[in-house]
Amino acid sequence: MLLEIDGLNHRFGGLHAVRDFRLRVDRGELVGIIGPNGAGKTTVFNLITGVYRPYAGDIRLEGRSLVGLPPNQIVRRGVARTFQTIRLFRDLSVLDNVRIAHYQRGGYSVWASILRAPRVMRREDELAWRALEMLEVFGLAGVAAEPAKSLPYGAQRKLEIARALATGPKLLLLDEPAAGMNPSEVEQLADLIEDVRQRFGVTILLIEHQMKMVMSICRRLTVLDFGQIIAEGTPEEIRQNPRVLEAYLGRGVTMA
Amino acid sequence: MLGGPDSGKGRWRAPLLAAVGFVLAWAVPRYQLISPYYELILMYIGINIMLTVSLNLVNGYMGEFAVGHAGFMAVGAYVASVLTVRAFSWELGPYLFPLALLAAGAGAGLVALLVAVPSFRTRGDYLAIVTLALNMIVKSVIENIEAVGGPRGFLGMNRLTTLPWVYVWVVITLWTIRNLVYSIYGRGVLAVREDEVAAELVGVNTRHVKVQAFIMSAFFAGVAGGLYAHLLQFIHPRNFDIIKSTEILVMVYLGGIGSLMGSVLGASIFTVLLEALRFLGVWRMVLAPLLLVLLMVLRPTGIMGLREFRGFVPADELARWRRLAPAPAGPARGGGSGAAGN
Repeated sequence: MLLEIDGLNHRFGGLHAVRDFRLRVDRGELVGIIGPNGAGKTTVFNLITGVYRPYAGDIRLEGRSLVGLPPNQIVRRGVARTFQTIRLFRDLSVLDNVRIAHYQRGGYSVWASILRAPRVMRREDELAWRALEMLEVFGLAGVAAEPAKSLPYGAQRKLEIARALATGPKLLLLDEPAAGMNPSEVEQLADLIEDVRQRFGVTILLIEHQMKMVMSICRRLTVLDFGQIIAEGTPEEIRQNPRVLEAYLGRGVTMA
Repeated sequence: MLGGPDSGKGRWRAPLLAAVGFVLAWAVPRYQLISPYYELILMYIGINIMLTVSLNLVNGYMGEFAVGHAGFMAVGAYVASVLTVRAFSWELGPYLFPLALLAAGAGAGLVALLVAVPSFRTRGDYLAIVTLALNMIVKSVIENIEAVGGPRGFLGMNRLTTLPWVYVWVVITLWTIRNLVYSIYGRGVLAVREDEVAAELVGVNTRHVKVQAFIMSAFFAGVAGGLYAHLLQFIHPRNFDIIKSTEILVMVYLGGIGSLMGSVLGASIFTVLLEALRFLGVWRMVLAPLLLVLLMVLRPTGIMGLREFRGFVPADELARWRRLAPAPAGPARGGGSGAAGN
């Protein structure tokens, strides 16, 4: 079991944003988390990555608890993420966006960097190489020197995934990667996610509103509403679950 | 492709230029090539470059807003002066001067560490307030220590600061900060400026990065203070007040944030301007604050505006970019997010 979450609770003042959330994710899986707006999906990601400290509950990666660690330590343990609203280092080059994600695998000390020892230069060559290889996977090598903000929207989404993968994660959290994309881009993205999962051997947790995409690539789904899990199962089971339909569309509706 | 055999191309250009510069810096006072007055101005420019580049690391590259740089300068000035006057014997003074300067930097760095640990828990405006307070505290503390002359100031230093020494320290400052900026740690600094949360979530230890940069910044301000004290031979708490800090801020924003060349230009232009306008008397003091206001309104990114002169980029990094993109423009390292970076 790669990720185990038990009894996870979080409050914002009086709002109980996440209530008794529980999740098991096996190595290599692609699990979707869906739910209406404000259901607490992104809060779960923020709890896993240490942006918030949970009010109660435990989150374990490979059996070791992540609770209370600063975000950068959680990254070191092997969790990477993207953001619902793109958070690239906008004014830095595309290459530097990826190179920053190598921070923990620099392999040289501050003192060595100040002396710019030959070791540092060789290591920097290697890191630049690796960053460029990563960009090639996403078709972004040609724009490596451009500032990230100059990329079209879809490419920025890809760059965020590339940056997350550059940290060398075991678990990749994708927060609405298809938001703002047109149908053909969404289709490409679905292929890309599947490709990433296989090529990098990462386990993926996906928050998404594009039902068609979620249903097509995830083998297992968890549905959240008002901070609580209301359904779990395969896409087929979720499609027919009356509580899910109710949460999304209101009472007395059937999904086409 | 990136990496490869010609990584070291042009590696010797910068050290060679630095060596030529040193010979010049040595020859000028030795053979009196220029008048002592111009020599003095050159030394002021050098010291101001150190102050500007070091503050640029925190305010420009890292996007924080520290406003009390003169406080660190004061710590350095007094540490170095007390050492050369009280601790070192008169004959050994000139030889132990580098040690005194290192101690000056270390003292300032230590103060920075004490301030950084609590204040970097908060963000943005708080650091401005904390550093402002620190500047005032340092000044008042010195004013109240009778052993170093209190409000009357401290004297007795020999004029140990010479043009070659200033030159050497300017080169060390530029070289150190350049090397940091173009390493994984420097990219961590840039990431903090761009988006601190995202930086942390791609693995950057943002607290480490901030404390490191702050200490390094203070270290060079401290050394600059030591050089300043042994040039003036008389220091006074009022040399290191908010006005001085404001002048350093003006030099940073005039030259351009996130640019070494910018800091060199900003410090040089401002120092010369201040000298040239001596005839204005007290009104000269209006210049710095006024310039700061105008800069913030008209051109918050300064002369260089986040660009860098290629000579200040490590040769191996330039080679990497050359293989990547033949365009001479080089990589984007900018950030139009405003000078204050808040």
